[in-house]
Amino acid sequence: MEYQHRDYTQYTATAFFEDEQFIHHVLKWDDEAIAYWQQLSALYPDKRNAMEEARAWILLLNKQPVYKPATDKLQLWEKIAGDIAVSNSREQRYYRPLKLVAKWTAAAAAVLLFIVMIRELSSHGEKSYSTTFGKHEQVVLPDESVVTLNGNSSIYYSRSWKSDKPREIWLNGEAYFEVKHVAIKNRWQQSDSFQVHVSDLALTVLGTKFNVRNRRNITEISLLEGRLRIEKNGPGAFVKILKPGDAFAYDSSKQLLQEMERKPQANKAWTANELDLDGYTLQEILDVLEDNYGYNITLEAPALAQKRLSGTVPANSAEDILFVIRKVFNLKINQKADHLIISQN
Amino acid sequence: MQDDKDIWEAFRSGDESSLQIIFDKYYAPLFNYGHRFSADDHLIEDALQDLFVKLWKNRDSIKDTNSVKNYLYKSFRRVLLRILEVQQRKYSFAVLDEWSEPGGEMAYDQTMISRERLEEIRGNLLAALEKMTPRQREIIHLRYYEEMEYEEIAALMQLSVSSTYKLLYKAIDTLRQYLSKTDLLILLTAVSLKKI
Repeated sequence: MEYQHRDYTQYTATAFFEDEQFIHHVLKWDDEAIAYWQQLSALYPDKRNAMEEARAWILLLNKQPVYKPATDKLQLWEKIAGDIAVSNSREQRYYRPLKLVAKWTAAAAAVLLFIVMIRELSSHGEKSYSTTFGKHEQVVLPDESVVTLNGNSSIYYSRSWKSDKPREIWLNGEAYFEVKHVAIKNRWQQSDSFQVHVSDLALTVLGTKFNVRNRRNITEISLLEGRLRIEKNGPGAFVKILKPGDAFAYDSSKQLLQEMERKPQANKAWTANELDLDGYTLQEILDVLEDNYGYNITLEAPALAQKRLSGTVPANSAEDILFVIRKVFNLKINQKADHLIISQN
Repeated sequence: MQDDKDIWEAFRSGDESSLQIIFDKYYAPLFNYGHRFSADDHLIEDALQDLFVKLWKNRDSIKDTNSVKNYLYKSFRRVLLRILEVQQRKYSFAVLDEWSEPGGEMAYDQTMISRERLEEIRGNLLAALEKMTPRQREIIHLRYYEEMEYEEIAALMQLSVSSTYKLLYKAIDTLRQYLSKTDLLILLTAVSLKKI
């Protein structure tokens, strides 16, 4: 201990009693400490009494005998060891396995979280929706526009739609759009538009209702309300403005846009779980069954392929449509899992 | 101290014999400390049993510690006070009137202090301790008997360091007030003796 010389002239017994250095000297008396305090008591002879008294207090307090209990130490340990044994056997039965389960659950959760994060990050903030065969799904977009997806279809869009950019969305399959009008009247700007990317086309609208069907290289666009602009860039570029009631089909293999025989109202009948047969050949109906419901169909009566029907049939399920065509064309349908072999009865 | 740490480490990793070593080493000092709170040996035993069984059950969550002694004292004090509280006994800290015969340490300059004077000092100290509050007595015990630092006492008694200083100051002030009276008495007798 480093001794700091202090002025002890004002020290009383209690002051010595409190003094860190003094306590140390009394309790841990080494040669250095003894020499220091002997020198001090020679220096302050009038403090000897106070020093001795403080020393006596400290020693009396410090050297008290350790209490000797009447109870037995070994017996107490045996009791403790008994309790420990009981707790150990319980631990092995319940707590340890539980702890292990908790540990693994936590690890699994961490891994899962990691995977989700990686997926989120790798999709560059894209949000996507997709449907399986035979299922419809309604998606409300951030701007409150509503997209109804037909079976076996998907959309994706950038999560962060900024108000100064056109709203953009990518489509595979078939969907019906009800786009919310966000432009202020007579003050239309580029950023108010809504764009659907399908095949190699860009469809630009404001607030409208339209159906887009993209199957087998053919993209059918049917406009029910508002205005729609079809734009094709690159080779064979064109622009076409659609009016309500227009329905156009674009063949991406030929880069050819043609007006359709079928009307927009018929093309969106699927959203009401119906199939409007006007303008459909049997082959086209079978294509719908393949595209939307996931069947693999072989038609063993090629003469029937171009036959037509009219009227509307319920289309809650593929069975409804199959029932109708079987009755009307008098067909035999042989089903093996998803494979349908259709022949003349 | 290093020994303590190694044993503590072994105990925490599930070695029961290490806990027994700790029990062996701290049984007497903890019992001695607990005895100040209650003269009921069985109650102290219950507290010790409770403490060591809990230590074992919680060994996975017990942290490394700089001082096993402080950790045990603190846990023991908590367990013991809890038991006393449940039994609705008041917190107390006994004054023991047993003192060791002053041995070698006391004797190194016996010439300066007579046996009678020592008895007198002892009587005064005892009387002063009786006048203190239980908390003051406990802090005196921790400081002079257990030789703990302020920070250690603060952690043990769950006080801030500054309140610990204050509490010890008050305890010593009680001592001062009491002893200055008897000092004065001694002075007066000395003066009156001179007159005769």
